Amino acid sequence: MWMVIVSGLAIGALFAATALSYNVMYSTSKVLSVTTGHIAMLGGVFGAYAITALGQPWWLGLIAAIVVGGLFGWLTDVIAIRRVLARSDEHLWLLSTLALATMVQQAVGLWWGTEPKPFPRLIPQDFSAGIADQKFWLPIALAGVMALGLEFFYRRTMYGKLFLAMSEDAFAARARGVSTDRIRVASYVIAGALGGLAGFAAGQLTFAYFALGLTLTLNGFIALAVGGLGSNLGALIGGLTLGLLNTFASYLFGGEYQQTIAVGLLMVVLLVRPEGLLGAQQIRPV
Amino acid sequence: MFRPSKLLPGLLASLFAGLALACASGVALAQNTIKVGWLSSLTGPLSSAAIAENQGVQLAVDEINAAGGIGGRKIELLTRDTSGDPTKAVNLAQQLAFSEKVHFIIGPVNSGEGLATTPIIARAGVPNLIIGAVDELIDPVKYPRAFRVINTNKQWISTGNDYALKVLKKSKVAVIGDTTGYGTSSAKTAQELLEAAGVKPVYTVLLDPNKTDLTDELAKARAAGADVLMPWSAATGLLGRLLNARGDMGWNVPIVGHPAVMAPQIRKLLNKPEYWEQTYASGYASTTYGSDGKLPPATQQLVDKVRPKLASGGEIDILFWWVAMGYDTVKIIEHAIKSANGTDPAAIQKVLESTGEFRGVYATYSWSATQRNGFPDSNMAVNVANTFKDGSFKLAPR
Amino acid sequence: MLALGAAALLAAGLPFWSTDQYQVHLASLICCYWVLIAGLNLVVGYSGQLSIGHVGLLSIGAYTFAILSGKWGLPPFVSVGVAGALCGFCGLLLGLPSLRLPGFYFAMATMAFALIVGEFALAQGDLTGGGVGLPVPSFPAPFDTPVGFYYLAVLGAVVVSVLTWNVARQMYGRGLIAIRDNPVTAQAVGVPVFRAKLTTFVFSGMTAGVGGALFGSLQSYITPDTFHFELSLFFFVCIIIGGRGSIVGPFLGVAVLTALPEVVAPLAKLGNFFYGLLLLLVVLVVPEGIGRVFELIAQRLRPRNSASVPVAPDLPRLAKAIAAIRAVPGEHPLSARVVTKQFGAVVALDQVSLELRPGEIHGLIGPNGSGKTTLLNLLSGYYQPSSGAIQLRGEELGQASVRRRAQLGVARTFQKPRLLGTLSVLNNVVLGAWTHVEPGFLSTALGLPRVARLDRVLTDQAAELLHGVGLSHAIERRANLLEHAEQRFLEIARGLAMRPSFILLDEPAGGLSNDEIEHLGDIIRTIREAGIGVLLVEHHTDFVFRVCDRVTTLDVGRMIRHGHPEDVRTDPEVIRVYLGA
Repeated sequence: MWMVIVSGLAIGALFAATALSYNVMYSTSKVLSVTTGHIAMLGGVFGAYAITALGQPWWLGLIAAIVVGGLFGWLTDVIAIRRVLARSDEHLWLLSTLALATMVQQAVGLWWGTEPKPFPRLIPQDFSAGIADQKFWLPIALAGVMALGLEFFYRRTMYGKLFLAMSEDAFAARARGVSTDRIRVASYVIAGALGGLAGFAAGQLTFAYFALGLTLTLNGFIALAVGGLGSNLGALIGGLTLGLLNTFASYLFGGEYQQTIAVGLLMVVLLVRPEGLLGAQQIRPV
Repeated sequence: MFRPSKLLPGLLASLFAGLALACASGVALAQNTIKVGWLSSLTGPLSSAAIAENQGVQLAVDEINAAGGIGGRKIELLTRDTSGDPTKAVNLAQQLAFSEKVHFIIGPVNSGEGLATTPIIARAGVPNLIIGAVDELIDPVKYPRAFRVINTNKQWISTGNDYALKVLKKSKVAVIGDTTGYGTSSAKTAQELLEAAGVKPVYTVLLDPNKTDLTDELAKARAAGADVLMPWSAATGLLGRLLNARGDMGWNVPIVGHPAVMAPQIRKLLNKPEYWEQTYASGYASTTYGSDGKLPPATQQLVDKVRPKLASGGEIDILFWWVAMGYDTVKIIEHAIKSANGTDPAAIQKVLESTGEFRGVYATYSWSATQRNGFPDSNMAVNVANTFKDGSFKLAPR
Repeated sequence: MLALGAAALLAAGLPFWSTDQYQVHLASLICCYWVLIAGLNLVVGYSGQLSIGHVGLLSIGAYTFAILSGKWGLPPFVSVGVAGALCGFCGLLLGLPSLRLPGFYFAMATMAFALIVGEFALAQGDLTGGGVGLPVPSFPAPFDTPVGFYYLAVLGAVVVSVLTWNVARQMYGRGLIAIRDNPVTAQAVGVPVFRAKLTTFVFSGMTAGVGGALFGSLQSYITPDTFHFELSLFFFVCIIIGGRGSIVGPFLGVAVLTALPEVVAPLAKLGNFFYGLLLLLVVLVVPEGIGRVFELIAQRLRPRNSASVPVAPDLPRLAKAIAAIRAVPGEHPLSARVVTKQFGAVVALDQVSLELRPGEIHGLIGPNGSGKTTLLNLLSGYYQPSSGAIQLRGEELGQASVRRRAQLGVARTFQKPRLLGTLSVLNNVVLGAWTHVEPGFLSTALGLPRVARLDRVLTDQAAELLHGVGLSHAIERRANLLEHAEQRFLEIARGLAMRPSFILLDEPAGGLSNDEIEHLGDIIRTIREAGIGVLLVEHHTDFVFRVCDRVTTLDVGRMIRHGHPEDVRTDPEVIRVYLGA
C-alpha cells in the first residue's frame, strides 16, 4: 500500500513539475506550449546518454539535462512562438508548438530508439530499497524545491516581479519600459531548464523514453487544468492528485485504463469548476 | 465561390497525384531475376530480431548469387522496412505483390503485422514463408501458399510448460503476456495448454510492453501464491524489467518463458547480473551446446561463415537462431524453385507440400498438404538464460 | 466545381490507365482517408476547432464495422451506416463538453479521446480481439475485388466532397469561417456559435465512422496498432498544409502526403518528423496553406489593379437597397432605462437612461472612460446591466444574448473593424444576412435548391448594399486587402444586411478623412430616412452635432445632458468636461 502511495506521489511530482513549466511559459506569453512535456523527456534522455553512453559522472549528466532543457525552451520560443505571436491568429502557436513537439519526439525516437532505456543510478543505493528508493524521492524533492524556488523568485527577486507584471498586463509592462520580448525568452529558457531538471530527477522512474513527451504534455496539462491555470500551488496539488489517482486505479483495477481515468478526472473538474481548483476567474473579452 | 485561381490547384493536384502514383509503380523492366520480397521490421519494436534475421537472409542470398544463382537466375532481394506498423506492412505487401510482382515473400517478422498481411499475400497468390509464431497465421485452406518456417507458438509454450511442471515440479503458474498481437494470443494459448495439462494459472496479466514499473503485478502474483513465472512476450525491454522487479523484490521464483528472456541485450538492462539466475527459456537443439561443449556441425558451419561479416568484430551478440532461420528461409526458396523448375506459384505450392525432411541449419522441415507448420517437435529444447555464448546456450538441467 | 469534376473523372479512369493493383490500393486508401478528412476539414479548416484526436473515431468506425459485419454477420452496408451513426454520436459526446473550452484545452481533450479509444480497443479483448485484432470483411460483390472496392471508395469520396463543398460555399460555410476567424463577429451577426461548432463536429464524426469502415475493409485486418496517434496528426497536417477554408487544398494535401512516402523512400523512414517539419514550415511561412501559394501566384499573373479608389456612395442606390431588404419598419424604441453597470468595485455606468427611436440619429459623446462603449455593449448584448433594464418594444432584453438581439434587429459596428479577412468583401456582407436565412447544416449540405436560391438572392442584395455605400470597386477583393476607410464602410454594409431596426455605430469616423466623413454622414442620413434608428458613438463632435437629431453626453458613467444638438453643444457642463472652451 505504501508503495502505491509513494509511487503515485513520485509520478505526480513529475506531472506537477510539468504543470509548473506550463505556468512559467504561460505567464509571459499567454501560450500553452505542446512542447512542455518534451522538455522533461529530453532531460531524461540526454542525462542517460551523458552518463551511460558517454560515461560521464552524474553531475555532468545533470548539467547536460539542464542545458539541453534550457536550449529546447529557447528553441521553442525562437521557432514556434516569436514569429507567431506577432500574428493575430491565435491558433497558430498551437500548430507551431505541435509541429515542433512532433519533430523533437520523432527525432529522438530515431536517434535514441523507441524502447524505454534504463536510466542510471545517480546515488549509490541498493535496488531492494523499496519505498525509500531514490527513484521516488528525487522527483518529489525536486518538485517541492521547484515550487518553493519559483515562489521565492516571483516574490523576492526583481526579475520575478517583472514576470508577474508581464503576466498581469503585458501591454502596461511594455509601456513602463519593460523589455517584454527578453523576459519572454528568459521565461522559456527557465521553464526549459526546470523541465530538463525534472526529467533528469524522474529518469529512474520513467526510464529514458522518447514517447514520454506527449504523455507528459497531456498529463501535465491535466494537472494544470485541475489545479488552475496560473497557480503554482494548484499545479502541485493537481499533479500529486493525478499521480495518486493513476497508481491507485492501476493497483485496484489494473493498468489498462490509465488514460481514461486521468481524463475522467479532468472532465469532472472542468464540468464542475472550469477554472480549476485555484485558478483565477477569467473575464470575458469583447 | 467559383474562383478561377482555384481551378489551377485542382488540376495540379490530380496531375501530381497521378504522377506520384506512376512513379510509385516503377518501370517494369524485363528481368530474369528471382524477386524475393522481405518484409522486415528493421526499425521499431522487434527490430533486433529483424536485423538478426536479415543477416541470415543477406548471407544466404549473397552465397547463392555468388554460386551463380538458382538455375542461372540471380536472386533480387527487395527488403522493405515495415517499422512494426501493420498499415505500412499492408501497403508494402501490396507493393511487393502487385507492383514489384515478387515470386516469394518472406515475413513479416512481427505477428501483429503478419495477421494483417497474410490474407492479402494469400489473395495475391504469392508463396509466403511465415516467420511469426502466432497460430492464426497458418491455414491450409485460407492461405494455401503460406508455409511456416519458425516453430509454432504451441511448441514454445508446451516446451516451457513441460519443463516448469514436470522438471521443476511447479504447479502454481503465473502467466505473463503483453498487449501486442503476439502477447495476447500467447497468453491465451498458454492458459489453454496449462489447463489441458490439468493446471489452472493462479495469476494472468497482459502488460503494456513499454510499462516501466512491474512491482504491482509481481506483488499480486506473489500474493496469489505463484511458484513459477511464465512470460510469453517477445519484448526484451519488458522482460528485462520483469527480471529486475523479481530481483529487487528479492523473490526467489524461477522464470520459464519465451526465448527473448535469454536475449543478450538483457544483460545491460539488469540491475544486477545475479538477477538472471533461475531463468530458463524454450530454445532449440540446433542452437544448444552439447555436453561436449560443441554446437551441431551445421550450426557451427554457419557461425563460422557469419562471424567475419558481423560489425561487432567477430563476437556474436545476438540470438543465433534468428540468423539461422533467416538463412534457412532463402535456402527453402532455393529448394522450392529448383524442385519446381521455375517460379510458378502452383508448382511451388506442390513442391513444398510434399517436402519431407528438408535439412536446414535452424531445423529440418517437413510440410504436407494438410500441415503447413514445418518445424519438428524434436528440435525443441530448454536453455539456461545466462549461458549465452556466441549466440547459443547450454541445455537446462533435467 | 470544375476541379472536382476533373479529379473525379481522372479518378474514375485510374484502373484503366494503370495496370498496377498497388496503385489502385493506394488510391483507395487516399479515398478512405479523404472521407474522414473532408468532414474533419469543416471542423479544423472552417470552424477552426483544432481536433487532433480523429483517429479515435476512425478506430471506432473500423471496429464497429468489423464487429457488426464480421462477428455478428450484419450486411456490410448496414454496418457502415451504423458505424457512421455511432461515430456521429461519439462526436456529440466528445464535443458537448469540449467545444466550449479554449483552443488548447479542446485539442488536449481530443487527443485524450484518441488515447482512450486505444485503451478500450486493447482492453476489451472479448469484443475487439485485444492485441490480436479482428479480421474485417469485404463488401458484397461487385465491391469485393480491389477495383470494385476502389469505385466504392471513390463514390464515398465524391459524396463527402459534394456535401462539404455545398456547406463551404454557402451561408453556413461563411458562418463557420466567422467562428474561426472572429467569433465576436459571428455572434454579432447572429450565428449560433456553439450549435454550429457542435453540428459540424458531429458531422465530422459521421464521416470518420464511414471512412473508418471503408478503411478497415481495405486493410482487411485491424489491430489497435493500426490506429496509432500519429495517424491523427497526419489527417490534421493534410488539412493545415492544404489550406484552411478550402476543399481542394486538403484533398491535395492527403493525396500528396499519402503518395509521397511511397515514392520517396527516405521520407518513409522519417515518418512523422517529416510531417512535423512540413507543418512547421507551413505555419511559419504560409499559414494559410499551400493552396494559398497557388492563389498568390495566380494573382501575380493576373493584371493587378492597385490604384486606390476613393469611396463614393451612391445614395439613391443605397436607399433602394435598404428598402429592398427591410421588413416592416419598427415603431418602438430601443432603450436603456436607469441602467447601472459595475465591474467589481468600478462603476462604469450610473443610472443612465437613453432612448433610441426608429428613424432618428442619436449621438453619444463624452470623454474617454465615460462609459460610451459600455453602454453600447449593454444595448447590443455583450454585457448584462447590474441593475435597470434594456428594453425593445416594451420587452425586457436583459438576458437576451447577442445572437438573439441580432435576430431582433439590433446591429452594430466595432471600434476596430472586425472583418473576415480571408473572405471577399461581398461574402463579408452576405454573412450579415445570416438571421434571415438561419441555415441548417443538413439543408445546406444537401444543396437543396431553395437554400441555393436564397443564397443567390442575398448575394445580389448584398452587392447592391456595397454599391450603395461606395465599395463597387472592391466587391470581389479579399477583405484583408481593404484600406481603413473601406473597412469601416464594409462593416456598415454588413450591419445593414442584417435587416436591422437599429444600428449602433462605434466610432465609425475614426481614421477617416474629411471627405470620407462627409460620405459617412450621407450614408447615415440615408439609413435614417429608411426608418432605422442609428446610435452614433463618436469623438468627432462637429460631425455629431451636424448629423444627429438628438445627443446624449456621458461623463464618468453619468449622463450629464441630453437633447437637441444645439442645446447640448452650448451646455456649460458639457463644455467643461468635454468640449473645452
